[in-house]
Amino acid sequence: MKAISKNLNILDYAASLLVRKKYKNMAVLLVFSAVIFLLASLQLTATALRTVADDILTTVPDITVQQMSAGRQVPLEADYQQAFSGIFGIRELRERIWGYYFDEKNGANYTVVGLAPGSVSGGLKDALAWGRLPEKSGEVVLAAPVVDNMQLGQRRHFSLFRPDLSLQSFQMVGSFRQDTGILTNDMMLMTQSDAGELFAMADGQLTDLLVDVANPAEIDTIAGKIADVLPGTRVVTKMQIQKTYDVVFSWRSGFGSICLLTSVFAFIILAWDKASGFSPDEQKEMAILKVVGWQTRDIMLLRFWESAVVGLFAFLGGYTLAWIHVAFFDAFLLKPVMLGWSVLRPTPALFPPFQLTDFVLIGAFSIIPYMAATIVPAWKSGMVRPDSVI
Amino acid sequence: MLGNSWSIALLICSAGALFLIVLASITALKILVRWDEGSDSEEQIDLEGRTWLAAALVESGLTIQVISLFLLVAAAGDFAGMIAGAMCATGSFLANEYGPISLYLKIAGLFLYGFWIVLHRLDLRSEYFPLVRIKFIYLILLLPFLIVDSYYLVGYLYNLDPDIITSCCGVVFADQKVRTNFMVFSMSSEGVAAFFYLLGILVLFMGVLSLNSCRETGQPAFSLSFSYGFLWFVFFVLALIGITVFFSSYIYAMPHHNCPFDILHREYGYIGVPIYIALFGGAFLGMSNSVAALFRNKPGLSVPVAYYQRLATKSSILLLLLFVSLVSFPVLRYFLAGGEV
Repeated sequence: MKAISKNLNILDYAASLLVRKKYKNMAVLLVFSAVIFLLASLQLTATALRTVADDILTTVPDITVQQMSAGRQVPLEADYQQAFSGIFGIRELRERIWGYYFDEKNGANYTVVGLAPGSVSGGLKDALAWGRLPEKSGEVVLAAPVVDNMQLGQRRHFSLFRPDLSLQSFQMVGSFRQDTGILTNDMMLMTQSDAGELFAMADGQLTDLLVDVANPAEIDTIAGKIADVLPGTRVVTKMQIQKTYDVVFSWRSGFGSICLLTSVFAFIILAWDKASGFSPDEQKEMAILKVVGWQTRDIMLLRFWESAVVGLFAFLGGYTLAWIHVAFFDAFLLKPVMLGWSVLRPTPALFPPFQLTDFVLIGAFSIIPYMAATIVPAWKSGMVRPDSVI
Repeated sequence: MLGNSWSIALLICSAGALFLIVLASITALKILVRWDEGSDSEEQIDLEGRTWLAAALVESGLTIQVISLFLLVAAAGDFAGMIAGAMCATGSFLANEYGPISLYLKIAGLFLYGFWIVLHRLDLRSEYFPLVRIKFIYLILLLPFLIVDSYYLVGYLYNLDPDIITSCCGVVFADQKVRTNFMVFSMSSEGVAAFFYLLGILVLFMGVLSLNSCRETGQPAFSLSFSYGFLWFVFFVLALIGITVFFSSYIYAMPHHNCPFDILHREYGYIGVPIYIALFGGAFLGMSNSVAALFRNKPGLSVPVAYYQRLATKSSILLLLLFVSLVSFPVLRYFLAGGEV
């Protein structure tokens, strides 16, 4: 109890010291908050994007099979049925044709996905804002950004060019929700035969095969068997896609953090410098404290509390601002670094969860170096010799 | 995987701790070379001031070590999302041979720094500074330990290979046969549990005996303190194994889920946090009891050491009881209520 009340008294005194030199401390606080803001924004954006990706990936099929030739993806011939008959545990097998449609008018790439009616997975079914899924030839479901980009307005009918520049007409029968943006933002969902026709693919050719497995524990085994019976294919499991997303986001945020490290170090040098350069007034004050009975350790404790208060406020301020930046302003400063490959950039609603691990991670980036940098100056100010100052 | 945010944070912590301990070692060298307790020269007064610096540096080093242990466990949990075959932190640690050693070194570091702080605090209680040489030699020895710690950390992070889909190959089914436990036992998990409770009772018994002997003679017998600390060490190791192979599956309510790390997660109400705090706290206080006992005959230290031992023994007994009740509750709940309620 005595130790607590002593610490509280010293904290009280430290706060009064900070207030007395408010402009000098405000400068440190502002710079430190800005550094933490940048670091925390990066980390929170990455966390939020991973949450979004994890949510979306629940809609991805367990296994995706693609044909490779000379290291590139080529259409898959639809005579695989025979090969699959010996593999047990497959719940559902679906064919898919998909590709990018380049809109010359505005330079956008749309993702065209063609699935046979009735074989659309639950994820896409649930992603509809209104309307229904395409059931017959000529019907298509679009995402709202695609509608805007093609300037369709209230019209429901439009045409797309086949490779030979002939026109293929479509009718919009539904639209995707906003919150599945990362998946559906640039998507046109149509029937498999329409997609094959739009891309002028030969009959019986597809882009990939989607395999759903009854028992999740068997996914890897079944993927291995598929790779055996269909040589030359690339077999990708949902887990691998998820891991790749995780790696990409964590690598990008890590790379961003490395770039920001310079600013952290610049700040640490500033903090060290500020903490070591006492004015004669400050030296006198410490000397008087020692004369009235303070020990070196008490003055170090005082200095510790000073930096702890500055660090805490900077952390809370920077973290809160970063959270607001990510949640309410969609991380507009950093999103281009983390995302972005198409004109119709997906705009997922980012909502970073409050995680203890994020706190500790950002604290380790900022507060630990700061506290480490202030120990020696704190000790120096504690070693003031009263007789040489007063 | 050095470019990951977690890796960078861990490396910053490691660099920070190294920086502090290097500074502390330089101070320690100065003190060791020039210390003259009989003198009242200006230099001696300056050196006495420097002991404060060294203490503050080691205390901060300890704080960083605690944080980096937490970071390492959290990071391993996060890496599990990127490494082939790893489902949780256990898999991440076992992804290369540096992982488990790095974890063990971090845990050992907590105790080693902590003991130094105990020595320092005891030293301050005596007007003769009887432990100055011992504690500063000890401090200098911490430096190579920390360097080894950093080496294994960097080795672990550098050798981690994330599992990403590359366009050149078909199926990436890298080595997925990650062992699910850190250690392979011939003993059954029930055997471990029985041994755990037996040893727990023994520790408790020794603690009470120690306190009794304190009450009678003012100071516990050295053999008692020493065996109490030693028993705590064995109990600590056994408790970690016990949590892994026996208690965790009752917390998860899944017979085949044995992981010492997942109990720290939100899904299980962060129950692992109080469990590990009680275990580490109890083990530290129990073991430091014997460390302190080593120096009770130094001038001016008998009273402070006895005081510390009483306090440490009482607190460690309380923490032991807390720890055992926390881990036993899910087991009892299972046997009495027949499952989760």
